[in-house]
Amino acid sequence: MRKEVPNFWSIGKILLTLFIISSLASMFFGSGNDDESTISDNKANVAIIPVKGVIMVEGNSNPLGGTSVASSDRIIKEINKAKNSPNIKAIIFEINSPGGGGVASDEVGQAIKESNLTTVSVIREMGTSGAYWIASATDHIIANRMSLTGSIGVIGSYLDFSGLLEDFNITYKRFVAGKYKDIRSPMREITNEESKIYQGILDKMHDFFITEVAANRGLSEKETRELATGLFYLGSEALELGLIDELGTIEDAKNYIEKELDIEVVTTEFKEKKSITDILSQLISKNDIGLQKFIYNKPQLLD
Amino acid sequence: MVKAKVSMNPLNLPKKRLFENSASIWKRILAYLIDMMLINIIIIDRFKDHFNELSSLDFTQIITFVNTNQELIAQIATIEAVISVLILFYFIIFEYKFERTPGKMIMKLFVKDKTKKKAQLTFQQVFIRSIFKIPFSIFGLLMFVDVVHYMFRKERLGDKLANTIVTEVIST
Repeated sequence: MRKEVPNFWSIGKILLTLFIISSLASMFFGSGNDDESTISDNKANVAIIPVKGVIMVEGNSNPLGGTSVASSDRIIKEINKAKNSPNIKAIIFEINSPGGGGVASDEVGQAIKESNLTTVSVIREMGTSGAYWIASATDHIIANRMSLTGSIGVIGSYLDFSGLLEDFNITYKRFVAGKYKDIRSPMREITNEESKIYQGILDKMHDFFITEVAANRGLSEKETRELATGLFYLGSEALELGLIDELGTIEDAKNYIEKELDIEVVTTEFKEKKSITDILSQLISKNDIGLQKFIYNKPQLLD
Repeated sequence: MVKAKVSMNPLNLPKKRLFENSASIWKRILAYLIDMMLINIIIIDRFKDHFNELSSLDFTQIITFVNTNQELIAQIATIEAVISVLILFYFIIFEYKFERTPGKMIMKLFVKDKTKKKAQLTFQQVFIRSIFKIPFSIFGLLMFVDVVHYMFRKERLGDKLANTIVTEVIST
């Protein structure tokens, strides 16, 4: 290769190419690693953990829009980090979620109770069903007067396509070993017996939900059951019913902690960073629950 | 019509003479610093967000933080390796195409083959002399060895292994 005479453009092109490659490489490393949160900031004594989106055991928020997911794995990891940090005295859960999976909600609720830190929930637009389960596990719940909360119930509805298949002369050929193996299959009509079984499962999950909320909120099971019709309540109503403690914002949460612990609150927020690989994987993410809740057989604490 | 030929040297003054000489170490250091400044802007700065957490800590806090975050250690090591490779690309591309980096262009320095001054540098030569210039990761050790070699032999180890010399152009 002949030696080239350098000029501004040729040098500029090379530098620009290196700049672009470096930028892309840097995006690649923007991981969802929770260690990148500001827990290292040793001035902070209160952690803010977001609970935004549908609560599921795994998955990440979709930065390109679509259904956002609050992973219980991530939330529990952050709770444990806060618990193990000598500086952190309290956690504020910033909740904006319609709920989600029963297991995910229960796991987070248990982790909150085992944290031995002062915990406060701040419900923003929505903190219903599974999200309310999580909020109820905290020491103090704050919501806006127009926040939606409550919805203490379980949903397991699904779409029955059997009629549509019949219209198109498509037959569901049933082959199962274990007579209830395809219970709630959308491809056939559910039998009365299966309906009773499935309803029994939902009722059991509902009982667990009610027991937890009653224990967390210091309400009797009878009182809680009366409220647990699946109906959601505005923040102002929830306050009267004893489902929340205060109307307010995050500032009120900080004031509450300052009063309770007699400290000057310095917060640190756990942010979930996305790498380009996380973003790309979300494009074909299994976490978009869109139609899932109507097609897959999964009862959920979802609004 | 006769076109007049304008002489560029009407007074017959001696033409400017250019001498090529071994470059002084200070010019080479300055050229390297200019290159590192440029590398800082276009490469290293792209990754600064990943080190935000450490920037507000003192040394002891950094050690504690890093030791309690094993995943972070692996990530930092990987990022350093990537930065090192990109810096290597910088030196290789410029010295292979133009026989000098932007820093050397500003300081009017050239990299030549030691024995055949007019020959184009090979990729191997450029690669070998460049791996001693990266201050990160394991390359930092090579850089240290290179500097020590210069102190005792007045020649960079990279230049010796690559059989190259850095020259400066002096005009009279």
